[in-house]
Amino acid sequence: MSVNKYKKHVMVYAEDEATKQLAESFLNDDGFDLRRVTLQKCQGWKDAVERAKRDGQLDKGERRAVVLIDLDGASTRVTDIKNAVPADLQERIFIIGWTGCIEQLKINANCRGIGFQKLGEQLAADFRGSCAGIWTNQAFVQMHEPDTKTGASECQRLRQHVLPLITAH
Amino acid sequence: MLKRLYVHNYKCLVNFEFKMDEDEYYKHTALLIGKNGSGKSSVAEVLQIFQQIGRQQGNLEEIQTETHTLPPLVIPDHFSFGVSDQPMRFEIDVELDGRLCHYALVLELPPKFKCLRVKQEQLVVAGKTCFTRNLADVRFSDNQKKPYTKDWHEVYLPEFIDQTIDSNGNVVALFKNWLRRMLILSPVPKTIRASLNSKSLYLKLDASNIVDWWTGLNDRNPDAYADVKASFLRKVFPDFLGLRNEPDEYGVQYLTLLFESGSAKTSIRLDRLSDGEKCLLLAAFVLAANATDGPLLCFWDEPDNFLAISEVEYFVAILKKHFLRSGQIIMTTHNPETLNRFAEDNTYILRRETHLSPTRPPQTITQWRKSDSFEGDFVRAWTLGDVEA
Repeated sequence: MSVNKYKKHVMVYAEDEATKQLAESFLNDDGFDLRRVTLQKCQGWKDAVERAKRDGQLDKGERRAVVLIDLDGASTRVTDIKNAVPADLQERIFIIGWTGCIEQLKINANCRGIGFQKLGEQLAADFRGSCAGIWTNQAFVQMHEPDTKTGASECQRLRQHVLPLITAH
Repeated sequence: MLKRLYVHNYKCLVNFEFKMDEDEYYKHTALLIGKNGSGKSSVAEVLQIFQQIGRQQGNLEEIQTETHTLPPLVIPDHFSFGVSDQPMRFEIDVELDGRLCHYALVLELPPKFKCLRVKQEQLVVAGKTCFTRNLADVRFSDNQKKPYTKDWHEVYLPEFIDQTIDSNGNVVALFKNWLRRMLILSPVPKTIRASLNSKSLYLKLDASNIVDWWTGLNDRNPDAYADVKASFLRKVFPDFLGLRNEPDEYGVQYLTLLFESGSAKTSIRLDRLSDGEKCLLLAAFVLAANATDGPLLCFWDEPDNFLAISEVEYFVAILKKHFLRSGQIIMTTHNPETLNRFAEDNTYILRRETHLSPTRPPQTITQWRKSDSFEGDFVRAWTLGDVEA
């Protein structure tokens, strides 16, 4: 009846309160259905990645994990994360990260000083669009293409594998 | 929109002020947490007092009619810690169409009185005083020579009618309407009746008259049923087909849920659903009421009670998402899953040291973190009881 490992669903792991608020407002977009989504607030990026790995290893291939992290300027972290995620899970784990802190992304997206919710709304709107707008910002990093300086390709992966699961019908 | 609630000398609430956040994302939702006895349900009771006044019940003495007894709005036992030589004060600030309505009611218990009386009462709308009252004397303007006299054991607001109509309509009428339509819920699923007794505009605290209320709501807003059919019920009950008010052989109507699986259909009377299923249905009705008869304020005491743990997150997320569009919802909880779906900026901690001490001023988790210099896992600290210290 609810989210479980036998049905396709999405688990969002937010590394802290700020990224949780971002995810909340993203998911509150009217185009999304919350039935197949669960949101977890974690205690830092390591905890978020560990939980995504642990839950991913338990499931039956139906779970998609979206991990939201601040890289806090640690440029090698995305590589560390990629190395920490088993190869068989990498296709089902999506990392949305920022090279600086999330505050920097807010500034770049003209959402400075108005909470993380506005940024989440903007991310959702651009996500339902074509991964343009804020997703092309160079503050993003991505696990699959660590050298790519925008979030556009990870966004496209999300659109392909996650959007069908959360689109409201 | 509820902006502020102030209570003094009522049960554990002494000089207690609760303000909804002004932020556009937080003004629609709030979560109250705290140990048992910390004052969460007392906040609901205060809202009920205002709700009763909105429903034209402002008696401070028990009233006996031929058919029923109307209990007093507030009784002397409600004074904080028995301190009846100080007045009890209730204030509510509500913003409607950009107009701030401020209503204050002060009650006292003079020596040898057996029931409370009104000491002061005031309504101010958009900065303009509609009436002020001292004991029995009600004045509508400063230069009014002779005051209107009101029984001091009755609240005046239910009687007050303001003829002023501006571009937003009659704001006083809107305010009273807002008060009376508040949904204050602490459901007791076992008491929920499936039969229709008499249509009602008001849902009881325990939701026992849900069918009377739902039928009344549908009469007024036929779109409500369509809203329920399209609601999250189909997500939690994938086999849900619809609702019926079916009469039995004696003509008594019972609310029945229809389910369909493949070519098979079945119907289940409301009172034969599980406790959790009744709460899910109630939530669908609440959402329909807010969509078709709102915006409303809903105060739901522990909405996660009775639900399967795997349903809690979705249930809370849906309620929040819906009320973000319009209306307000205030919840209380002891459940970490519910806590997880609220931001730390609009989760308020109520604390109280002993049964002889009042509830401390509510703090958001964010404020508590600062005052306690705490940076760790709040849920963990909450579970361990560290937040209460």
